[in-house]
Order: sequence, then structure tokens, then C-alpha cells
Amino acid sequence: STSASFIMPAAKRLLEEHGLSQSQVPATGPGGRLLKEDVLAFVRNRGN
Amino acid sequence: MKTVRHELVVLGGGPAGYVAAIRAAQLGIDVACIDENAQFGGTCVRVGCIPSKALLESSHLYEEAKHKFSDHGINVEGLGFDLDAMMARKKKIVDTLTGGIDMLFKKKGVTPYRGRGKFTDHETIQVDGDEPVLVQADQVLICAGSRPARLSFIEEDGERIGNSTTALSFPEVPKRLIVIGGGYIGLEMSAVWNRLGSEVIVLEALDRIMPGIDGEIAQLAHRTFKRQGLDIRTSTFVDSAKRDGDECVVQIKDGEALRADRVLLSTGRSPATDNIGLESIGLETDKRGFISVNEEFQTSLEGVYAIGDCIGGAMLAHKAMEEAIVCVERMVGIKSHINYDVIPAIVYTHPEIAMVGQTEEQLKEAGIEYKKGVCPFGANGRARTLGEPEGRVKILADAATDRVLGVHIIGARAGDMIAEAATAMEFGASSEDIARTCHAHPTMSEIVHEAALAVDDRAIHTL
Repeated sequence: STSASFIMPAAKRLLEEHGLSQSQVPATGPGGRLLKEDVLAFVRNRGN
Repeated sequence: MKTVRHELVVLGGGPAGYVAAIRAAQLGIDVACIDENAQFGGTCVRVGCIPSKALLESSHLYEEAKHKFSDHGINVEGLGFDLDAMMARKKKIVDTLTGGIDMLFKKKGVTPYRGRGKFTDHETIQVDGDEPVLVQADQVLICAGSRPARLSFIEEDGERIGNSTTALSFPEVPKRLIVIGGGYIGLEMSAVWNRLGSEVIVLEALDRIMPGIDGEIAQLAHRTFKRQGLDIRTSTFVDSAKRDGDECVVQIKDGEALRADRVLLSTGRSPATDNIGLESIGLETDKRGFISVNEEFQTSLEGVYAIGDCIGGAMLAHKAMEEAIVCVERMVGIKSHINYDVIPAIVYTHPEIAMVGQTEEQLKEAGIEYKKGVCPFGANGRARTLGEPEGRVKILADAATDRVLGVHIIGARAGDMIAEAATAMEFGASSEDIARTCHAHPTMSEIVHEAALAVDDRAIHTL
């Protein structure tokens, strides 16, 4: 997926804690922003 | 009769109409704006938001001088007020702002027409001003606004028994004022006259005041208003109100007859769509008088658009202004949007009440699981220095995603504090995003920050 245009502060924390890069996680926020919920959903799906 | 032609004609010069006209002019459209009043600005500027806020501030300052200056070590002797001067100040503010619209129209190239505008066909409006004129346009935007709703059993005489416009210009402070309707208009006017010395009785048919405001916040407000001296009676129906000489008699259903020297009817607002000639173009309204539009604000007639109070939804000036921008921009192909989920609402009493997004009641009803973070004003240093330790910020966030779903504030300056919450929600923010945003210290905005921290039990300044 394409890189998010902007990473929200809470998403940044989560990416780092899970050892993810922003390019791995699809962003759904306004203007292509990567939201906390995007990272949470990615981590949850990866767990399955 | 003279006939003129424009590309766009805007019928109504309130927040919907004047903003639409100015935006259209900016976009290079040859635009005209028609208003029946001598001053542009609509309800909001002439007899709504602006004059009510002017009187709220004057009466608030008097109240502060009376009860709070001594806390600061300031002694005031012989304190009083001059109602005529307060009214003159209010008028000056209104005149300045309406004059500002005239100036903006001139500079930005909007052609104004003063007089009552009525459709004669779908692209022609007859303006019955000092110089009657037929205004033709390729496209017409209806911004007819609203007016105070009337009730058949309330005999308004526009003097002793009147609406919000009447209550903004009482010639003297009523000894006793009965307010029918416990919504934001009724409560704001109650606050003004109560502070200036009136005994105020608020009669509300519902079991709570301020429907639409989060229940917990409304309850806190109710308690505070009572302490301030308002006699608020909920679940109270009015059978009739009529004038009796220099007094008014309000008959409570299955109850007593109350007497007062003034009565304010504030039970809502109705769309003002009944005398603009809609019948001559075959445009029907719903039973209440609202005009139906699609997502582009087009009515059922090609080239005829409508926005603002006359299409329903939240009857708020900023909602109308937002629709104005989006409607006009979409006419020229700019794909702008309005997000109805993020429109703040404010009651300008003291404490102020402000909200954006969903209430706890709405979330429960929708079955959405949520987390809640609360911070009281008393935990905030700035609030203490301002002598405003009463109030709270409540943030509601989705239990699974942490996305902010609603923010509710009661307390001083809540109306200004809510803007941060609206911006955050517009960007899809989580409560953690707000919590991780640096807020200046000491400011009231830190209460929002603490409430965001409190969503996940990380608040620093509260237990």
C-alpha cells in the first residue's frame, strides 16, 4: 500500500511499539492520514 | 418595472445568504442578494446571535461586578446599570456588523436589492422595495431563514407577550418574566433578564431542559441555573397565555394561573417559506414548511437551490454558512463537502455549554461502546485564576478504536474551547491524539487535554 500523507500522533506511537513501518499499514483518515484505528486494525488482523 | 439579470440571485441576506453571495462573487459569479430588511445580516445579526450575545455580556459583567469583584479585592460602590445604554451598545454592534456586510458586498462585487422578494417564475424574483424590480437569474438560491414559531393558544401581542425579538428590546426590566420553552433561546434570554433583576419562571413541556444537549451536561446546567435564581419547571404544559391589561396570565395545564408583566414564547423556530411565492413556481414544502433538497442543495426544480434554516436540520448560523460555501462551490465544480457529524452547538449562558458530535444518549441508543474521560474545571490552574472553577469537559471515544465521538463542555468559555474538539474530530482524531498534542499552560484548553488523558485513566491533575 502507499505511504500515508501524515501519521497521527497516536498512530506513530503504535507503529513504533509494534515495529511497523508506515508503508505497511493502509491509511483511512481524512487526506490519507494514518489513524490510530488503522494501526489497531492492522495489528488485530495480523494476529488472526 | 425594471428588469435586471444576474448569473445567481440569492434570496435572503442572513448567514446563509450573505456568505453564499460573497463566496459566489469571489468565484467570479455575477451575483445579487435580496433581503426584505433595511439591514443585511438576517436573523443572526439583526435579532439573534449578535444582539443576544451583546446583552448576555453586558448583563454578565453587571453580575460579575455585583458578586465576584470583591473576590479580587475590588470594591464597587453605588453599582448600577443603564438599560438604555446597554441597548444602545447592542444596537451599535448590530449596525457595525450589518454595515460591514454592505461594505463587503461593495468591495467583493455583490449587487444588493432591498425589499421583499417573491418568485414570479423559477428564474425571476420580484422585489417590492422602494424601487420595485424584477431580478432574473440563471440560478436562484433560497435562503429564506426562519422565524420564531407561534402557538395558537399563546396570544402574542408583540409587546407584553412576544418572541425573542421582543425580549431583546424590553423597554424596562420586567418584574416577572415567564419564559415558555427551555431551549437555548429561552435560557439565554432568561439569563439576561434574571441578571438584571427579573424574577424569571421557565416553563418546559419536556422533562428536561435543552433537548439535544447531552443529558448529564443539561442536568448540571439545570442545577446551576436554579442556583442562579431561575425558577425552572419541567414537564409543565401551558394551556394558554393572554394579556390582561398591563399584565399577562399564563394558565398551566391542570395547574395554577401565573401572572407576569412579560411573557417570552421560545418553543422553537419555523421556516420562513410561506410568503416568497413558492406556489407560483410549484415548489412544495413539507408540512412544517421546510424545503427539500438533494446533496447538492438542489430543490426539485432545476436551477433552484436552498440552504440554511429553511431546509431544516440544525438551525445554527454556522451550519447555514457552511452550506452556503459548499453549495456555491459545487455550482462551479469545486467538490467541497459538509460534515454534519461535526457541527458544534453552543449555549451562551454562564456557564457556557458547548458540544460537538454525539451525546451519551445517542451512543447508547446506537449501541456503540464508548469510553469516557472527564476533567473538572476546578483541576485547572487557569480556571482558578479566572475565578471559574465550576464546569467540566467530557470526551466520549469509541471503546475499540479510541476515535473521538463526542465532546461536551459546560463552563466558562466552553464555546471557544469546543473548536479544538471539532478540528480534532474533523481529522479523525483519537482521544490519544488530543492527549499527545501539547497544550499551552496555563490555559483552559488544558482541561480538554486532561479529559483526553482521562479517557484512558492517564490524567495527571485529577484523581
